[in-house]
Amino acid sequence: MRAVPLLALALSLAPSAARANPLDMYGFLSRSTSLGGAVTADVGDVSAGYYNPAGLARLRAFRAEIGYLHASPSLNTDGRDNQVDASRGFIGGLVAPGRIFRLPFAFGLAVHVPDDRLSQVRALTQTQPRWELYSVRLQRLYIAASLAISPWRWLRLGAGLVFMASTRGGFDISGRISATQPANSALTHGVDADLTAVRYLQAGAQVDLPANVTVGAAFRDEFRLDTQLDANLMGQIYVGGINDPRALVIPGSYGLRSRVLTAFQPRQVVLGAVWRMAPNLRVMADLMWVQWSRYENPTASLDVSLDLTIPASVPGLRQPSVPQPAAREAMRFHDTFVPRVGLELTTPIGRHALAFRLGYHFDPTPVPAQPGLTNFIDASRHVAAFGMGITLRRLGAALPGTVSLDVHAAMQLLDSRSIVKADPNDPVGDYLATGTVLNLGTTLAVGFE
Amino acid sequence: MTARAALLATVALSLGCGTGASPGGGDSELPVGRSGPYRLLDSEELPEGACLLRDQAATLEDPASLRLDVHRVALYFTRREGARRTILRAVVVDGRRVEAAPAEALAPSLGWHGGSVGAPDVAITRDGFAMVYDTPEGIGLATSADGLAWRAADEPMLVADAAAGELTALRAPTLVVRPDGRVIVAYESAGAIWAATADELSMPLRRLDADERTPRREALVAPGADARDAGVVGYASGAVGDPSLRAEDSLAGRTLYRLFFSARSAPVGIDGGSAIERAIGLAGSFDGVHFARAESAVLSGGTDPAVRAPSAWSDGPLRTWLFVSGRCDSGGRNEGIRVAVAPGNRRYPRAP
Repeated sequence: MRAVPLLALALSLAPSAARANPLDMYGFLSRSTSLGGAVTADVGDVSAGYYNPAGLARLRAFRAEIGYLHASPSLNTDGRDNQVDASRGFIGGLVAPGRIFRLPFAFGLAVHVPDDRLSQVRALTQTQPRWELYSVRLQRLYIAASLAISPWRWLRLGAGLVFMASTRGGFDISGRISATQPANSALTHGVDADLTAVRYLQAGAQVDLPANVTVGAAFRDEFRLDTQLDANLMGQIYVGGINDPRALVIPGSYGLRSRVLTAFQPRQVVLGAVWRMAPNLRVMADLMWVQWSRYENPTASLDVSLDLTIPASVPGLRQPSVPQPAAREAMRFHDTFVPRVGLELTTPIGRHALAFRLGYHFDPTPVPAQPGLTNFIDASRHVAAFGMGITLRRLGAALPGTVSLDVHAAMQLLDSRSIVKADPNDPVGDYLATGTVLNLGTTLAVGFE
Repeated sequence: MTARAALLATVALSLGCGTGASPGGGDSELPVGRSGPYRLLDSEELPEGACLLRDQAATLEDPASLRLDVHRVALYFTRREGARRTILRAVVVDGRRVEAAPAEALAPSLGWHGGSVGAPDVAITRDGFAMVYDTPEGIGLATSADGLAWRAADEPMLVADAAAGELTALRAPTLVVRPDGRVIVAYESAGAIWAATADELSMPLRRLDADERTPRREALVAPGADARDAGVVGYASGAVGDPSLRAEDSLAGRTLYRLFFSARSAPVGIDGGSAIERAIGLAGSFDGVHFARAESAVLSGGTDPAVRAPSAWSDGPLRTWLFVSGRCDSGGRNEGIRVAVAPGNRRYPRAP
């Protein structure tokens, strides 16, 4: 049956079953990650394509960065590791600055490419326990293209689009089915899969203030992806041989419509500031609002229809009933505020420089208590980060600019969370959830003059 | 470090990380509530037919499990031959293999035993082990230092009180001893499950009332006159009994009381017959007094219409064995101890 591999191919091309994206969870590029992500006012490299596109306009020369991210979760329920997938992939991008109408201008491209699988779709029942903000959520291809401009020296503005792909597909089967001689059934089928692009907006600004202070703001819009699969079977059921004129023929159709919310990114608004306390020391802080309250139940909704035209000559035969769709519980996620702080100390070594970075952020869980049927597991996160970077300048005629190598290590510590059920006969019961995630990465940057 | 060396190092590191792919998915060892459904093991999974324990000359019934270690469980059960009942003990390994031949644990030796002791349940106490069992006169208590040799108390610990709703003899007691010494004894009488408690095992039991708002004493679990599924009477609408109570302290910080029981539906008269459905039911409680019954049976009597008297034992966080009384042959001429398992979606090779 050729429809099956075709359908599998269509699903495999679907975007990952992300509920947000790996950059939200683990950060983007080593410098920004090691500063706890508190870079909305400070970012001025390729990672501006994610944190604040306005920061692209800081650059005056072409810059390219490439790196690797590997986040290893150890997430447990009742002390047992649930083997949540690691999230890893190549990250990078470029910034191409220039001038437009004599104003500094920059184009930025930011990319995260998972190296395990480009996409994954999992449709689970709502009672199945799952680490809702981890697991397949964090395996996703991310591409952001942004533009930035600096109309005045103290102001930078930027905006961009993040691209995702959505899949809609279905298959149709029609023909004749012999109930008594299945091998003689004659069926034709067709598959229709459609990949459509989904975009969401991000924008930001940075304003330089007196006293070596810069403030920034960033906005990332909400997006959601639905995977939709429609299956239609139409034909005749033969009770008897297909070519037997005495066979009982029952025309009918069967329809199945499945919709799964495979990705959701909550709307985010970030305010940040950086204070350059000394030429070699800067501290920064961000506060991010995340609109999780619009999250919908991601479990599959199924609509099934069956329509058989049973001949009146068979009075005892009735059309079987089809299962009613299961009621899906409301998610009741709540909005969160995420505070972030970072500190960077730079030490010159000749014409080169060495940087040490510390960062921290607290990410309260948006997932409410789960006393009922659903088992969306999550807990508030404390994330401590550390990083180092070396910047080499003027290495030769081929590289008159800079070459930087940054590394970061960030540890997520999830609070212990007790999930207690209202029903003592709950099929899952009470349990304790906790865990850690170790996030390691490196970035190589080349900047031209 | 030159730029070229740094680039090479980064590429090498990246490739190294990229080859470390591992399967996952986040659905390994997820919590399960052990509420079934259970599946009876059959003769292709057990060494000697459909029953784990059988006796051609007698009926073996009313099993009660006591955990010994992660692989082994002591099984106490009744051997009934004619009117005489004794209590035997066997050790079962991995839920499917009997380690040694059953040995007698307690025989009727006192006058009030009436020549019959049976339906035991055993719990660990501060001083060793305690066993509750039934006799025609009431519920008895025996103690042991090693779980092998038992000494029966001279008097019954509880006898039926009609004024408390116990209109028939008390039978099939089950025992829970909490870490603070508090004791709960649940038992069957008049087709319902009742309970009594004491602060210490040595203290007199006082009867529990599951609903003190009503003038009469209410049972922990009573047969329900519930009609479900378009008129088909519920699995526990006729009678409930053979309680097996266990308390579990979850890591989430709560105690969950699980009460497995035998259930019998009310006779169905639609076709003029008296089709009675037997099944194993489960009720849960967070306080040991107020129980909520599961909507459906955890083990149906579809494959064994004689299935009854459950006792559960978990040999890990994800698997639970359920020992029950049941038929060892299709005709029901010989009944013994059977075993069911949850999750039931895996078949087991026959134990050597």
